[in-house]
Formats: sequence, structure tokens, C-alpha cells
Amino acid sequence: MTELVWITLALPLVGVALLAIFGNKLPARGAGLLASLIMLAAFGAATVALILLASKPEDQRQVTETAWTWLSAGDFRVGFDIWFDQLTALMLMVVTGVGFLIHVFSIGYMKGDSQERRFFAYMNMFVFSMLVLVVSGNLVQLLIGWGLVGLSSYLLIGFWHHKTSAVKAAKKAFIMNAIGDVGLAVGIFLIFVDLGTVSYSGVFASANTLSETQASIACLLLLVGALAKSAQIPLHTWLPDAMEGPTPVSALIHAATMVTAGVYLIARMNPLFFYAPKVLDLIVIIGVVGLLMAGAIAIVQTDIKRIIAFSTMSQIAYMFVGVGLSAYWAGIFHLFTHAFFKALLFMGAGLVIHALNGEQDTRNMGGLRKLMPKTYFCFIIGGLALTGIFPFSGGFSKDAILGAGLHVDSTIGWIAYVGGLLGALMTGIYTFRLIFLVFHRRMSPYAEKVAPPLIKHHGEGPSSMLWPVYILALGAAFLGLLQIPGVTHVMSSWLEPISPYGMVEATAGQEWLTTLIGSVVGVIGIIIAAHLYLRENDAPERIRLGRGRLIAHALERRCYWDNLYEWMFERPTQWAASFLNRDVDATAFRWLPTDGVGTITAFFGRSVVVMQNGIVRSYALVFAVGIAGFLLYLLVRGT
Amino acid sequence: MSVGIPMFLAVSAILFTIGLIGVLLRRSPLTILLSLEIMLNSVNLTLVAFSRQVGGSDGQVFALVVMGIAAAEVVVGLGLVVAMTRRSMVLDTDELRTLNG
Amino acid sequence: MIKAPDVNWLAIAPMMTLMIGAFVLLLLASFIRGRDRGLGTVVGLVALLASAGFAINLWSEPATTTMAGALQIDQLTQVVTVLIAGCGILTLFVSFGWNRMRENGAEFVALLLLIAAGMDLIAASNSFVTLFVALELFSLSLYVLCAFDGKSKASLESGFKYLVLGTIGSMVLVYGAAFLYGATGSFGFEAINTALSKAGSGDALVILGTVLVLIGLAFKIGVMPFHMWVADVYEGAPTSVTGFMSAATKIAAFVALARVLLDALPAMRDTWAPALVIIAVVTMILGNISALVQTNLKRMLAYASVGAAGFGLIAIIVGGAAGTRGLIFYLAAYAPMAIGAFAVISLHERDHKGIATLDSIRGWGFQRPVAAVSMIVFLLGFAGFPLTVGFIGKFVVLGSAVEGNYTWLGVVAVVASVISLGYLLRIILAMFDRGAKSGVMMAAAPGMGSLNLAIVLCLALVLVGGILPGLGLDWAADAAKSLAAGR
Repeated sequence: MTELVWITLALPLVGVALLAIFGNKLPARGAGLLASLIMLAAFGAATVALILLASKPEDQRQVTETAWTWLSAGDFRVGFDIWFDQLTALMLMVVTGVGFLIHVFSIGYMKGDSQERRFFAYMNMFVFSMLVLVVSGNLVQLLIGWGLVGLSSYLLIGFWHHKTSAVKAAKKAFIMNAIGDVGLAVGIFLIFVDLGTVSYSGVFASANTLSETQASIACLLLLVGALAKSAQIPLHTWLPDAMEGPTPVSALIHAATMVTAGVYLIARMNPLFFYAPKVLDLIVIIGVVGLLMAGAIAIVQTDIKRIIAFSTMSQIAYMFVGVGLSAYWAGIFHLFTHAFFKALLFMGAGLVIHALNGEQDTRNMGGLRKLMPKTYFCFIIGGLALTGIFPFSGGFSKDAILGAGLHVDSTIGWIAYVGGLLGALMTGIYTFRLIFLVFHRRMSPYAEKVAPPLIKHHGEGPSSMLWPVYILALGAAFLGLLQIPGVTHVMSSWLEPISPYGMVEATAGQEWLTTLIGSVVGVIGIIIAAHLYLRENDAPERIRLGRGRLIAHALERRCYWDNLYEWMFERPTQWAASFLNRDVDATAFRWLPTDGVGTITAFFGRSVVVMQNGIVRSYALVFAVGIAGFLLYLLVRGT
Repeated sequence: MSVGIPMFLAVSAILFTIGLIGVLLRRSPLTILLSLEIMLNSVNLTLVAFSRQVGGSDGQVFALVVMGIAAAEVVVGLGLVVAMTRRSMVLDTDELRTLNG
Repeated sequence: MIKAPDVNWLAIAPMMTLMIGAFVLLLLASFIRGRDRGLGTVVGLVALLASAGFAINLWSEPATTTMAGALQIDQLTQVVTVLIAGCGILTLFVSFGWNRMRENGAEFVALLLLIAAGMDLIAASNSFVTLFVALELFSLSLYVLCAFDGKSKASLESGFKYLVLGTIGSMVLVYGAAFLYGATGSFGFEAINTALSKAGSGDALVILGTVLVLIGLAFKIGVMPFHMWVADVYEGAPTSVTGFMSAATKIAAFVALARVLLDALPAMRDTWAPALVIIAVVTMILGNISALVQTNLKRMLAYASVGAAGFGLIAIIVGGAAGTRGLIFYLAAYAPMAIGAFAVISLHERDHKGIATLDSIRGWGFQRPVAAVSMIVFLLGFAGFPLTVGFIGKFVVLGSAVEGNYTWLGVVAVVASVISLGYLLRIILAMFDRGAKSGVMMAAAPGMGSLNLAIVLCLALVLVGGILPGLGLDWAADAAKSLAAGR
């Protein structure tokens, strides 16, 4: 069975190699087809692996295998380990399955781009990185995958490297991820120092020897990594900017996979987090604050992709709440459904952007319902799933998390519950605001001019772009049925064993109650959105300029986080750099030409090298001096 | 007077130094090779002297070996000098410095 | 009747094969003029492979001494034989297309085989006499090989310089050996060791001898302040020879040093260890700094080689099982990177029809992407980037340094690595400088194929070694046990 995992892992790598070496010789469509076929094959292998795993008895569903040992020094042993259990299997399916659909979508979306081949090479590389992260059986390998994922994200966000905004966004994403990487790395060091091992089996077995402080510090550092990768407060500012990348990138990386890596990390390391309950509480708080803040900001965004981006941030915050409450299965379940409906929404947005020839500002949209009925339908499904209306998938998963909060019945639990419901309200508002702004109301002059001819010519999109969207819509609609409270519990029972200390799960009654309230709250949100945005209405503008002036301003400035970071980091660093450059380097080292340290080093180099004048006997002289020197040194040391 | 071993050692040290100074001061490749030979032979002298002191003949045998190798060295060295002459290179090591830095 | 010494022919088969191969080629040389290259290379490959084959065959034999104690054949010998054979084979591939090969190929290969034989004998030496003879065998042949390109004044100059300075080094070595002989009564390593451990190490003769031996070997390795020959000789010699020198002479010289210091003179540790420490630190830092100011690529890598030699000294200073294992693996790791890097430079020289400098390679990476990417891997290997075998090599040496309470040496080594990035990255960036796409790619010339083959082989070795080092580390550990200090 592990051979299948190997195959799944190796296929995208092969894809990258093929595209890198032979890419130029392939026709443009060829690159996309090759990449997608590889993804399909990987998905197939992952599915078979899952089935094989499922056919094993429940207590044997944890397969580990060490391929080889890369480094070993004393106690420290790092190798290429595979850890294949229920969680891994699920993540593999999500990454390869949704990845495959997005690859197919990209064939149509990226058509005509001169760098298509590079795009697909990067996409395959990203999938490979994510797989390395997910199948890893030790923390160092996880870190390697983590870093590779960050790199792939950087390359893909900045894919259109002639767009300065894209390059800036890529850098921002990479730097913030690097901060997270440092936290993660230091956390891993700490774990090694405390426990003497970095393999999962070793860590899990000996986690109980840690004191609460040790576990808390380690988990806190791991959390830093997770926050950066998953774009949660306070390391979240890169995500909205990351929308500069092509839409399939946003769909794959910034909705379905990379940003969920943080959730995966916490779920995977749950035996460790069990011993740091305060950190778990912190996770819940961060989650609640995040989901509320992001939801609020989403309400005022005008760029179609940024609305969805903040929505992503908000939904991942839900996942964090889920794992923070120790309802790991619920957090992962939401990860699973979110992958579908969020990718669906992004791809739908991609269809709209495509139809409007690149326009992303919702103020230039409107009334597209008649022109793009299929897209509209998918948006509705995605929107309902996102808002969490019964019986769509998002509802089941989100309510599983909230139900857990109810079940736990502590302060934290109640904070989660109430915050989550409030968030659901906001979700309804911003989601359907988006739908109404894009598909209802009057068409904007721009849309009227551009859309009809394009759509008449190409239809809503080529079939390669449409049928992945349909498949995702099916998933968004029906996957919730995997976990109907009290009826089916595929998810919770499947994922139960990954946590040796048990998981929180609400009772069927609590679940249904939550579902009811959640759906009602969601519907209320939809109604509010309809009231404000369905027809032409100046109410939103009035609120924005009137009573809601301060809040609107804050939200539009994304709650001032970017300003804060600019003040805290960008300005001081630039000031220090220019100070060093202007005042220190130039004045203190004025007597040296140009730059200081480099010149000094080069000076030493030249002084050493000046002895090499090419004349043999002067070399011999240096030798003789050397000999004499050592003999002298002998005398001085005393014989 | 019986010449003690230390005398031999002193002589060979002086010879070694002379050879070394020869390499340091002379510019003609041939003279440098000559100086190298002087150094070689000073080492031979040391070997023989120690062999006398230690007893056994190991040192003397080694000295013979060194002589053989010295001969080979000279062959190579002179061969190089001849090749340099053929390429009309000036036989002055101070001018022989295209490779530097 | 004089009793002939007892010779274990099987044990010395690797060296014998090489020497027989060399003699065969020298005899045939005048008969096969014009078909030199092909026949010479074939014979050379056969000889090298045979020697490696014998060595692998002998791997599981217990250590023996032969030739009346002059040689000790143990696992270290076998490892070195295989490594040198590998270096030799790669060098044959690199030099195959060289025009001088067509004229004097048989002699070139013959010399190469003799050098290999000499290096193998160094690894098998059990006495100063053997060590000296083997050292001179390989050195003399190498002087000739450096000067091989008779048409190039630089080549002759480099050969001559190497000869003069190398001879001084050898003389110092023998002088030191003489003093040790005077103090202990023997040239054999084991005997010296026994005598020194009994008598104590305070004797002036012994200390003098130790220091002189150390200096002599330091010449050969090319560490500061005895490194002056390295840059000039590496620059002037034909590039394929430079690659071989960088890899193989380092192996041979280090093994010589290891045999001497760890087999014969472990009792003198207090004398030679502090000296080596000073040498190592100075070499690592100044070697890499000197490389920074170079523009000629061969010279730059020559200084890098000096810096790398300094790093290798750390392993000897640490000694013990970990240190010696680290040394052997590091040397083995260094070889493909060095040969590969110089092979790429050779390829560039052929394209460019001139000397390889930082300016000449601007933009060249785009014409020869495979070679340029391989070069990136080799250079990153020098710096010690993970996934290259260079990283593993540095890791085991630094690991042994930390275990052996020489952590601060490790820190210096890391600083030196950072400095090395200054010029290594410059090469990489220059290769892919978009602003300067030079000329048209030369049509493939005969022999390009084998050159590319060599580059790819080196690349494979570097990457495979970097990802799956386990087997290599085990072999290095086994070989290390052969050294007295490694047990």
C-alpha cells in the first residue's frame, strides 16, 4: 500500500521534471494535458490507497514506512518516512482530487498565456510539495515540504512577473511565510531537545513526558508556523494580496490546500497539543477573532477575488476553532468541504473574470445572471454551501465545529459557539452580497459592452473550464451527507483514531439544534444582503458615509493591519538600512571606495593574493618562512 | 678526531640551508635544479648518519632509494627545461610568471 | 641463497594492474601513433576498472602486510583504490576529446595510470620509505602531466613550478622522516608508534621530525602557508588534469597525512594537533577570501580547493572513529564535485576557445543549460547545500568536530562556507546573466559526448550521494577503522 503512496508522491515530481526538460518541445496545450493527466493518475493512486487502507481493520490503519535514512548523528535521525493514516489518506484525496480539477480548469483559463508550460510545471511542483508535507512521518520532512510549499506559492503568486503588484505580493507572502517557518523550525528544535526525536511515532509516544510549559512553548512555536501558512491573525496580511496570482492559483493554493496546511499541522500534532491546553484555547480565540474580522472586512470589499479571499481566511479560522476545541475531525471535515465550495467559488469567479476580459472589480459587474446561467447556478450552490445552509455540505461541517463548542460547554466553547454563529450571519451577508452584485441588479456599462460579445462567441467558457466546476458543485452540494448527525458518521469515525486522546464530538441532538440555528442565521444573513444589495439601493452607501463611517473606514483599510506592520517593520527597517548606507557606510568607511564590508574582505583577499607574484623563488621564500615559523613555534612552546 | 654523528647532522643541515638559499636566490632553472639536488643530498647524508647511529642499514637503503628518485626527478626537471627552451621561453624564473595572482 | 621477500600478489593486484597497464601503453606508444586516443583510453579504462575490481574483491579480506611489512593492505587501501579509479575514469572521459590526446594519448593515459598506482600505494604504505617512493611516483608523473600541453607556455610553467616546489616539500618530508628514524630506529609506522609510546614524546629529534613531516605533507595537500603552488599549477595545467589533481591528490595527500599522523605519530598529538589547528583556521578563511578576488575560474576554484583542504584538516585534528570516517567521506564527496566543476570549465573553454573567466561565462548558461545546471549543483555542493553530497560531507566532519569538543573550529568552517558563497554565487549568476548572451553555440565537437557524459556522471554522484548517503557512510566508517586512531 505504501508503494501507492510513493507513486502518488512521485508522479507530480515526474511531471515537473518532464515539463522542465521537455517543456519547450511540447505544444502549449500539451503541457496542461500532461500535468492534468499526472494529477489524475496521482488521484487514482491516492484513491486506491485509501480504499486499501479502509479495508484494513480500524486499529491497523496507521502505516508507516521509512524509505531511507538521510542523516543520522548521535540521537538525531532524519529520513524519508511515510506516515499513512486516515488523515493522510483524506488529505491526499483532497490535494490530488481538487488539484486535478483545477489543473483541468487551468488548461482553459491559462490558454494563450505565453508561459503556460512554466505555469503547469509550478503547479505540479506545488502539488508535490504539498504531498511531501502531508505524507511526512517526521518533523524535518514536514519542514522541508512546508518550505517547498512556500516556495511554490511564491513562484505562482508572482507568476506574471512583469506585474509589479504581483511581485510585491509574492514577496510579501514569502516573507510572512518565512516568519512562520522560523517559528516552526525553532519549535522542531525544541521538540528535539526535549524529546530527543523528530519522528512522529517518537514524539507521540513520549509527549507525555513533557511538562506543560515545555509542551506549550513548543506548540506555540508550531502555531506560529501554522498561523503564517494558513493566513490567520496576526500573520494574515499576505493572503488578500496573493490574489494577484492567476485565479486557478488562488483556487488551489489559497483555498483548498496550502492554507489548510496549518490546520493539518495542528490536527496531526494533536497528541502534542493535548498537553498544551492553554495553547488550544488560544487557537480558539484567534480563530474566533479571525473569523469575525475577516467576515466583516469581506462585506466591504469590491474586488471579487478579495471577497473570496477574506472569506477563505474566515473559514480557515473556523477550522482553527474546530481543532482548538479538540474536535479535530470537525476541523478536517470543514477543510474537506471548504476545499470544494471555495475552489468552486474561485473557479466561478474565474469564469466571470474570463467573460469580462479580465475585470475583477464588482462595481463593473452586475446582471450577469441571464448571460451566465450555469456560472450563476454554481455560485448559488457554492454560496449556500459557504453560508452553511442545510443540507449543503458547508453547513454540516461548520455546524459540526459549532456543535463541538456547544458540547464542550466551557467559556471557550460558548465563545466559539456564539462567535461562530455571528460569523455565519456575516458569511451570509458577504457571500450573497457578492452574488447579488455580480449576477443581479443592472449591468454596469463596462459589462454591457464587453460581456455579451465574448459570451456569444465562446459561451460561458470552454468545457474544460466548465465541467470541473460542475464536479465541484456536486461535491459542495452533497458531501455533507457523509456526516449527517445521528445518521451517518463517516467522517468522525474515520478520523477518530488519529487522536489517541479522543476527540470532542457533539451529540446528535446538539448537532441538529446547531444546524437549525445555523441555517436560520445564515438565511437571515441572506435576507439582509438581499435587502441591501439585491436591487439598486443607496442604503449601503448611506450607511457607509453616515453612521457606519468609522467602521466602514476601518474595514476598508482591512482593520489597519497593513498599516500597523508598515509602521512596525517596514519603516524602521528602511530607515535603518538607509542610515547604515548613508551615514555609517559612507562616512565611517569614507576612506574606502564604495561599500564597506565587501571592500574590506576584498582588501584582505588582495593582500593575501599579492604574494602570488608568479615568481617561483618568492613562493619558495614563503615556504621557507613557513618552515622557519613552525620551527620557531616549536622552540617557543618548549621542547 | 672522531667525527661524531652530531657533526654530520650539522653539516647536512648547513647543506640543506645552502640548497634552500640556492632555490631562493637563483634564477636560472638549471641552477635551481642543482640547488634541489644539494638539498636532496643533504637529506641523504642525514639518513646515512642516523643509520650509523641507530645501527642496521635501513637508513642507508633509504638513502639509495632517495638517490634513485633524485635521478628520476632530474630527468623530469631537465626534460621540462628542454621543453621550455623549445618553446623559446626565457630561462629565467623571474620572467616565468604568466601565472600569478 | 637470498631469500626473496614474501609477496602477496593478490593483495597488490590493484596497483600491479595499473602499473602493467602503464607499461603496456608506454611500450605500445610508438606503435599506435594516430590511434592513441581510442586505444589509450580503452587500456586506461580497463586498467582502472580492473584495479577497482580487485579492490572490491579484496574488501572482505582481513588486513595484511606484505612486502616484508612495507605495505599494509586494508580496507582503507581498497576504498582509496576505488575512489582513485573513479577519479581516473572520470578524467579519462573528460580528456577524451582533447586535442593533445590525439597526439600523445597513450602517454597521457600511461602517466595517469602511474599516478593512480602511486596514490594507491600511498594508501597502502606502512613505512616512510614506501610512502616516499609512492609519493614521488605520483608526484613526478603529475609534474609531467601538468606540463603535458607542450604547446602552452602556461602548462610548462605550471609543471616546472610544481616540480620545484613539490621537491622542496618532499625533501622536507624525508628530512623529517630521517629525524624520526634517528629517534626511534625505524621507518615503519607501527614500529615508530611503538617506540614513541614507550619512550615518551619529549625528545627534540622527535618533535623536529614530526613538524618537518607535517610540513612536508602540508605542501602536498596545499594548505596555507604552503599553498603558493596551488593556484598557479591549477591554472596552468590542462583543465582535465586540474580536475583530477583537485580531487585525487587531495585524497592521496590526506590519506598520507592520516596514515602518518594517526598510525605512526598518535603519540605526538600534542605537537601536531595545535599546529594543524592554526593551519586549518588560516587556510579556511584566507583560502576562501583569496578566491573572492579572482576572475579566472580555474584560479578561483583552485583557491576554493585550498579552503576545502583546510576544512579536511578538521577531520584529522578531531581524529577518532568519527573524525576519520568524516575525512574519508568528505574526500569521496569532494571528488565528483571538483571533477565535475572542472569538466564544465573544460567544456566552456572548448566553446569559448579561450580561458575561462567570470566575464567569458556571462550568459553561457543559456547555451549549455545542462552543463550550467550541473555546475550550479557542483558549486552549491562546495558550499555545502543540502541534497548535495557536499552537504553530507561537511555535516559528518562538523558533526565529528562538535562531538570531539572542537565546536569552535566548526563555527570557523561555517563562516568560511559563507565567505565561499561570495564567489560561488557570482559564478552562478554570471552564467545566467541575461544581459550578455554571447555568440553562437559551437557545434558538437568530437569528444564532447564523453565530456558531457563525465559531467552527468558527476552530477548523478553528487545528487545520489546527497540523498542516499547511507551506504557511502558505512564504507567510510569501515575504512576508517583501518587507521589506528579509527579503531
